Amino acid sequence: MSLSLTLSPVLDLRAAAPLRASLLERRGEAMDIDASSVERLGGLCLQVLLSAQRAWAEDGLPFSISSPSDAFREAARLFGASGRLGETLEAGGAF
Amino acid sequence: MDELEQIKLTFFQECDELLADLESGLLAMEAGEGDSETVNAVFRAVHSVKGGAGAFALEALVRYAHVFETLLDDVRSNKIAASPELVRVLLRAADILADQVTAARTGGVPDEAATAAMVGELEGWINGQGGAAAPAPTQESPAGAPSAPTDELGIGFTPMTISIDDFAAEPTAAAPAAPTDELGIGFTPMQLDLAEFDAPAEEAPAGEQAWIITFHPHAALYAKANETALLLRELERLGPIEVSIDDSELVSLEHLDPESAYLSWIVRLTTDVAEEVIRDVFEFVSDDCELTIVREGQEEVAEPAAEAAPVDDVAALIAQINAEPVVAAPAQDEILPTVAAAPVVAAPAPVTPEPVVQAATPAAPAPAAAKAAPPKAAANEPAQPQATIRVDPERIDRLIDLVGELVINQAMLAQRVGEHGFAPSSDIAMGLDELEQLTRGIQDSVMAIRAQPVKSVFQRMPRLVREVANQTGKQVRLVMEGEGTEVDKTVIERLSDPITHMLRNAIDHGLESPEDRVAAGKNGEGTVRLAALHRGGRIVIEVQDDGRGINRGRVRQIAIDKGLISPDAVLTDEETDNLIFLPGFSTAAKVSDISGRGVGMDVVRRSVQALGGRISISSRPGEGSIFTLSLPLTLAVLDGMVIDVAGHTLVVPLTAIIESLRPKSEEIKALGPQGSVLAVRDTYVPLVDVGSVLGFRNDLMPATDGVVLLVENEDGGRAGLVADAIQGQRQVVIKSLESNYRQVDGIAAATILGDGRVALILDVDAVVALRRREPRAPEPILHAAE
Repeated sequence: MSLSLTLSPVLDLRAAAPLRASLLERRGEAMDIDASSVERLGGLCLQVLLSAQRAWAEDGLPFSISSPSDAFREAARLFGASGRLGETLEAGGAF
Repeated sequence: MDELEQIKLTFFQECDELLADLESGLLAMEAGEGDSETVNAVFRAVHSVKGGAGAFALEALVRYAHVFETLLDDVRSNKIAASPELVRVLLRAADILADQVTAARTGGVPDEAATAAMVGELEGWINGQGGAAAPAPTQESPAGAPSAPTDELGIGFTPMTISIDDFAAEPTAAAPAAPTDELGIGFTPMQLDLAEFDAPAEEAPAGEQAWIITFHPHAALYAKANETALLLRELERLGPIEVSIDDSELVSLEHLDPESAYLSWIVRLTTDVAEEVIRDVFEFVSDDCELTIVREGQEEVAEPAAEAAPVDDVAALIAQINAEPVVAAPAQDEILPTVAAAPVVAAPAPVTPEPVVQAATPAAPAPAAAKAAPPKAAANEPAQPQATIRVDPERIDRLIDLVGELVINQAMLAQRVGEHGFAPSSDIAMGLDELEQLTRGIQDSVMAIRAQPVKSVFQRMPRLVREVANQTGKQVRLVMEGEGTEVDKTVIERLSDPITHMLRNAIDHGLESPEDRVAAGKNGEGTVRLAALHRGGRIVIEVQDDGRGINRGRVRQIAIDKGLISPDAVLTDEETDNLIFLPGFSTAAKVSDISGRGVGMDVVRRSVQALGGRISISSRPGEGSIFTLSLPLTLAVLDGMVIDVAGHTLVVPLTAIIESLRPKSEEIKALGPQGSVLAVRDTYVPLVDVGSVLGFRNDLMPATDGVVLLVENEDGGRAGLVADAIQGQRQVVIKSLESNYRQVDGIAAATILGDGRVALILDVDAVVALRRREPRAPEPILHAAE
């Protein structure tokens, strides 16, 4: 089973460092991120997620985002990141 | 969050400016002076308010501004003619926008009924146009962007399915057959159907363009609580966007600084708004990001210009159709500079998997527009806004304080040099003269920093006039002159109340009803003129109406009834007019909802005098009245008369002094045990021994031993201040006594003289009032019976 990380509702400036830390702690394990309670996704947390996605890919480990909230989807769409995260969004069910 | 609050504060300051622009633009349109740039400016003002409000999630404000903006957009694109009737509606809409901004600022609740009524009215105008009824955009959805495109021909713009990664560095990513990116994880391009962003059935505005916006935020942008997502959302309000992310700078998770910004974005925006409007979205973050905005296909202007027509007839047709409205379209004003400046950005064309669609849509109008635009752009280059900086007023105050010290220090130095007997032609004395000139120059420049045009006060008045006119049922035309007249900020802040009151008074009491005016052979619409001008080192504000003038008989009767003058007093017309400034003159019978409000003209007069100003009125029966308000240009320096009193040096504000004289003993008459009055021409004025009032000496000094300064106090009453001697007239820098020591009765402030000694500045009204405490206050103006 993959480790699950639940994203906090507000992913703004202040959430970026804790998010990075939580992700680094779980490095080396398959990752399933629960994005169901996200109300706001900012640019800084987005880059943490994208960087993490890349890191997990380098490790050859699964990285998925499951049950994204509408706000998360909308933010990803605005950021033009649906494509990148979208793959993991869709893949989320598989893990 | 303090930072956010600070930014919000800046936003509201900018709102004030934007609302002022909005109003002045609308007034220009009302006066028939507006051109297309005026309409654009008006639109931009509302748009910027909306944009800022969106960033702070001020939903009510955004909703209202959106409807307002939509109508203005229709006016801008000539869908709706800017008829006088419409402009009046827009003016009222601007008033309500101002209310909304105020409510948002104070956290108050705007008048919802008024807002709803206005929204209804605006939507009526929006929908009232021909068959092109646009349904009110849904507010919850960003899809309500006014510029959502559907071509009127049904051909040009086809909502297309575009891969989000069209612009990404990886060309193959767009091809569904190659769903693997360099990271090795599966990658399926998201299918984004642009159609879902389209507002239903709106006409495509002429001059629609695709723009490529590259945006690289800096860490500071996030640190200041700004957010890329909000900016992107704002862009989306302008039209459909396609966003791609550039993560080429993104570092590994280990090395990632969570507060640095690594990502940048490339946005393709299809909209009909001008580049400036797009830029406005980034207004608050322009210092904290790298931003380029170019028209799509700009870097290849030569190529498609040559090829577009033969390649695609449809495109050529669209180009032709678009070309004409395009000339007038505001969006084109800036084509020329853009072409010249066009930096090379990611070119979308080579990457796009669907070249046909690409060619048929946004690329085609671009060359046509570029061809059509130059004459227009050259003739009507929009004025660049002047670069300004915002400075904390405290810093300026500190600078003014320091310059004040410098002035004093320079005066002290000059005095020392004089004491040492240097010849005026000596190097030292000459150098000192130059220093004096420099000092004066610095002082003037520093004062100029704080000087502001009275426009900031004047611009609130048209609304006041509209409201008062509505309430009183009178027709009023407000003429404003000299809005650019500059005066110190400290004075500006206190001009508003007296002007407001004088205007109310002019409309309510001065102007007649339309019927009466017509009956008197005048235009039914009354004119009120508000003017500012510099005169004799002071600022003069005039409020003039062309109404009936002051009814002197009635004023006199009221003054007699109220015991303000004796029934047999002989008054000139001017003196009679000025009776309305006497405390207690305002009568219940006369107080109306408008000019009443419990504030009489005496209060206005007092507040003006507290600023070292004077107010007077002159009136011609049947022709109208003029209120004249004169104020010092600054409250930081003061023209004063330096006097000696019982060994102390005092300064009397020059504005209070009418004349100085050396009394003869026969002109002085004793009144009561201690008091005495001085006969000045046909009037007796009470004498005030400044030295004894302030406690410098116990015995009264015989007035014949010194000089008498004839002063006018706040009641318009006069008194003679008895002093030992007059040193001369001097400009002094005002130092607050309250903040440096404590409040002292009879003293307004202090200053430092050339020899370094502190001199007290007399509060004339207070000194006169102190003297009056024991004996009963005399009549303000005592006329000799004989």
